[in-house]
Amino acid sequence: MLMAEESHITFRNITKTFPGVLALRNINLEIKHGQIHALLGENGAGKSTLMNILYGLYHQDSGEIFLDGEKYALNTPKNATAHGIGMIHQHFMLIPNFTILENIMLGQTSPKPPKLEKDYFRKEILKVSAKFGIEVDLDLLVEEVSVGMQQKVEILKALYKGAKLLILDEPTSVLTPQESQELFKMLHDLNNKGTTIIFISHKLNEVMQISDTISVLRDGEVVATLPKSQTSQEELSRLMVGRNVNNKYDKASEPIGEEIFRIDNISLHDPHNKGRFLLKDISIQISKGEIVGIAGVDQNGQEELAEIICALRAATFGNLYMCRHDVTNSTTRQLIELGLSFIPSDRRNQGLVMDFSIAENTILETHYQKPFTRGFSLQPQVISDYAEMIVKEYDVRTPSINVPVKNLSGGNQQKVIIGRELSRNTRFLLVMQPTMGLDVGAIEFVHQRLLKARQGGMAILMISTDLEEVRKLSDRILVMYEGKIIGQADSTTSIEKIGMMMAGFFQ
Amino acid sequence: MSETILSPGSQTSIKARFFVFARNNLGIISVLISLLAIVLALLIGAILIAIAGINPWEAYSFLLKGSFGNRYGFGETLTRFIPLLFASLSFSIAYKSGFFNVGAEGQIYIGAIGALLVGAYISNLPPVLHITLTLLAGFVFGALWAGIAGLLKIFLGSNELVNTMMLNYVAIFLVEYLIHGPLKDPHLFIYQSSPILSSARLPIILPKTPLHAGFLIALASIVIVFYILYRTPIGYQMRTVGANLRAAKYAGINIVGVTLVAIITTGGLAGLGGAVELMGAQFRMVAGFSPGYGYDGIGVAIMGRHNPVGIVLAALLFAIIRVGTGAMQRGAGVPFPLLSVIQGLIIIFVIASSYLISKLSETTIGGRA
Amino acid sequence: MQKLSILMIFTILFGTFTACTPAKAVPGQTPTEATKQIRVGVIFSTTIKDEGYAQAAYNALMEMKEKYNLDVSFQENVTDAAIKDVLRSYASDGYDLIIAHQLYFTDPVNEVAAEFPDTMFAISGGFRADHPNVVAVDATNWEASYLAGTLAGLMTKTNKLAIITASESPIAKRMVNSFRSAAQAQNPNVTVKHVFTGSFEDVVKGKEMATAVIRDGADIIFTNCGVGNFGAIEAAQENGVYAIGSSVDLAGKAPDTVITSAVLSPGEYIKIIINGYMNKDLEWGKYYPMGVKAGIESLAPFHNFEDKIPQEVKDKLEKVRQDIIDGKITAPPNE
Repeated sequence: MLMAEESHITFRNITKTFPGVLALRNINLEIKHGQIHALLGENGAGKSTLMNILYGLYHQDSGEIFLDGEKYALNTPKNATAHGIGMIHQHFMLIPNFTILENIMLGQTSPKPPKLEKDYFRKEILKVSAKFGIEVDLDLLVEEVSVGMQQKVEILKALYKGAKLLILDEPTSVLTPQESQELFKMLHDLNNKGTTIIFISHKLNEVMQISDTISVLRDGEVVATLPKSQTSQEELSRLMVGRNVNNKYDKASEPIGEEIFRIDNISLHDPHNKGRFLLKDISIQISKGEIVGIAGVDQNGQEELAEIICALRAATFGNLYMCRHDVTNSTTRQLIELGLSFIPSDRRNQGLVMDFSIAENTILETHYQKPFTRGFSLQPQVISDYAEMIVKEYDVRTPSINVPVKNLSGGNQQKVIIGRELSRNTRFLLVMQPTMGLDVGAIEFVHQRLLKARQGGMAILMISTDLEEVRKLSDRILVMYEGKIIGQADSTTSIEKIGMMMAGFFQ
Repeated sequence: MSETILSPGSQTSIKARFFVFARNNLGIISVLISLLAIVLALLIGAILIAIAGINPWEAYSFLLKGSFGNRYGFGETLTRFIPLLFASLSFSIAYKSGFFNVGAEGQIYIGAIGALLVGAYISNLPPVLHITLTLLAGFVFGALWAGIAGLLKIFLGSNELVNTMMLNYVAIFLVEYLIHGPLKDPHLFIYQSSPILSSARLPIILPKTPLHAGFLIALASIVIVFYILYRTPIGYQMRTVGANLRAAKYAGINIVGVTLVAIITTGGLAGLGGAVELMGAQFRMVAGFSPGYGYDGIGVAIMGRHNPVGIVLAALLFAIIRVGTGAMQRGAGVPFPLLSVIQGLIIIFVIASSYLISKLSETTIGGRA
Repeated sequence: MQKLSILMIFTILFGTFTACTPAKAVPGQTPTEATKQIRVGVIFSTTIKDEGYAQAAYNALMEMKEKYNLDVSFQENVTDAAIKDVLRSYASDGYDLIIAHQLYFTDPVNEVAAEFPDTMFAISGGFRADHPNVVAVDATNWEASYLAGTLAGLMTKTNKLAIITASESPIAKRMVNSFRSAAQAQNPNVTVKHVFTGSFEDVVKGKEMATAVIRDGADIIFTNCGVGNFGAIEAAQENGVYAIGSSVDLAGKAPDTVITSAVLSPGEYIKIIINGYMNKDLEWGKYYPMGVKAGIESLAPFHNFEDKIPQEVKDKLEKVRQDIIDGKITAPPNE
């Protein structure tokens, strides 16, 4: 693609600190006109921070930004819009019960105040949408349309406000694979019509698919800026993590030990439709020192099964046994005391209390036990020592254990959870989506920890929609489809075969 | 506090410089903002007072003279501080536990009724025992009253905000009925309850002022409440339930149990506030027993940002306003409606500034990319 | 850090204020060697702009301020719960005379007065004085009713009268008895029906009760039920019968229906108390029920009825009034 080679945005010596953290160090970066420029990096590398500074949500401590060669000093969101910079955030800024038209015209000055002049805006917006070939039905409520469509609305909104430069922050993290492909197609079209695009991502394949130029950020620094044609996934991955990432694990095969947890004929009625089962006759036995993986497409009963195992939901039929004791009617706390650990899929809402410090989060299940509580009182010193131990042991990158976990990156948050769950006397570990949204380095760390726990004799049940992950880690693989276990496999089974089962085809 | 990283030669906008300064000096900035808010409110008040034809400086001098300038005023301010503190503790502990209790006003009334029943109608008890039982009755009645809204929430999932608010009206009218009927003092012409017995009264701790031993109970309560919240397993569980209900469930915390404890303590604290006010200051139930302490307590808690020192200072400010504005009228003749306006201005400005401060601390500290 | 900061706000705030506050000299109360100004504090349960009970007293207070060059202070909207604190604030501020202008403040004043034996307290409209430093000045609550009963007894055609009160309290009973015996003293054939509304606030009930007694044949109704008076007068107007108002002159509401009103003048309480204090002719420690003679109770002017009431009736009324002043008529029972 031949495009004008002049600079659209130039960052010069940008530095930004948050209390105790150097988020960006001396960033120098040039974004050229008419390019799709990817910012690649692990969570916490500084990609979003840099873009938030450009858009004016944060302010650099020092350094300068140049726009079309001229100094751009007053970086505020309002000024950014005026200069043709549009940003699509990971979480959309739309009002659900407004129509798409109303959302796009929101904040625009009416030509004839105080009248709203909806028809005027409708015409103007349709002009823009025709120009860029983005089709949306302006009269639908935002809450009625799919996430992919909402993203289109955000893009159209930015274009309508005159964006010449679009920043997309992890745009595919909320999309289905098909929606992602549609998005890429649309971005290509926009790019062909002259829009510069900055694409923030930590997914190598996406970046390789869409960008012209790729800048890799690591620990707040730009480590490389490369044209796509001169690089490879392997190189990018090495640059991003700072070392080579291995794709295969050495699993010492251990003799399977005694039975630790048994799921016996569990069934669950659909509360909204009594004739239907959400789970049907599920039986799984997990033994000491093995990882049993459950593969399957999302929404096939995995969440319900996990909730039943953790006593957050009661099964309609069937029993649970832990170390051969019937625990069907036990409470969550009783199970935890018997040696259950759970790493939930949604760490922000299920696994952590975001406003609590790291130290407070490390004792979520055990705070009332000795040595954390003696008599009536919590023991702050004991808790601090314990949290320090976990932070050190699990390599949580934080200035202090008193930092609220909401200030940590996703990977470090997950490390806090894993540290907490594996540092107890765990016999049986239930893991859901352990690496969702994590970057390559963090994924490998989590996988190594799970294998280490298995080595130490833990019985592990892992539920994941990431088939690669299941194959890499599991001793046995069960495939779940529409609430049933429809097949067994192991790491030697071909990916195609497991994929067929996940789609509902029996052998 | 981190050191300033701004190098002297760097070219940054004034705004950016401000943000860096604000981040590095958040403490001082928040002091200045709060101070500015109070000054601004007083300034607007001064203009209104001047328009009313009164010297604003003189009027304001009475605000402080009335609330702190003499022994009696000082004692009265600290006496008003007591129910405000209980009400704000009640709101804070519930808020921290995810239970939005705006019913402290009603719980104060009902707690006082509980204290009245024990304090006025059970006789021949030694004072220490009688006082203890009377305080206990206040706590229990307040807790039971909050428990109505609590049980509705736990078992029917109905919104506690609406229920606690509505129960305020029920409580106030119930008390009105009681002092017009069953609990009316037969020796009085007017509609008031019988007084509690002297063995159930709290002693004055600062002679020649109304300041009573309830002050010490209030100070002890604030220590106990924050010790429970931050240093005990049950407090930890309450805060967890308040901050993230799902995470609490996943961690095996008994949500119903913890919520019940929160409801009992929030209602109990407000009820205790009512009991202490009855036992130390008023001795009888009268119509208008609480002039809105329960509602002021919410403002105190928000302004104090649910933090013990903040709550004490905010309660003190509210008490000063309550006592001082009376003195402004008596001393300088500021008309009553204007006093209400000034009270409102100070409260709105200070609460708005406390939001500004928390907003500022969020934007400058920020999250990470 | 945060905690320290908030603490600082307060210290700074108090620092500035106390530093700048004038030490002693407060305008309006500069004591001179020769004559020390008398300081009077008055406590109202409502605002002074209520166009009624408090406003009349406030106007009287201003009149007294001029007359004796008093240093006057007042506080409005004082609740039952706050009254004791306000009384104590005034007393500890060194006020010479503290007047509580509300019947319901009787008990609190008697309680607080015991703590400040050197301060003089007065309750205007109060009904008890327990201590040597308390005086209670009250209406008789029957004399004006007696005048109203006399007029009604002389004017009725149907020989049926009615009185509407808000409650059955002892005060109300005394008014009823007073009205009835006055009417029957003029006309033995008169019967007086008593009904009550149960509230001082209920306009509708006032009208309902009035309509009922009018159907029963009453041609003059004496209404004494707070806001309900308006309802009762409306009923009388609609049915073409007469009404006698109470508390204030209600003729303006229905000039051809309201013959007169049994008026209470609360400003007189304040005048009596302050005059009594300055001239030392009121005895502290006593309860003073006062009526027609003191000017606290009276009948309002007849306005439109001036010409419709026969001179003979006016003469008889004047004689009864004189008898009351002379003490020839004794208070009726209150039950």
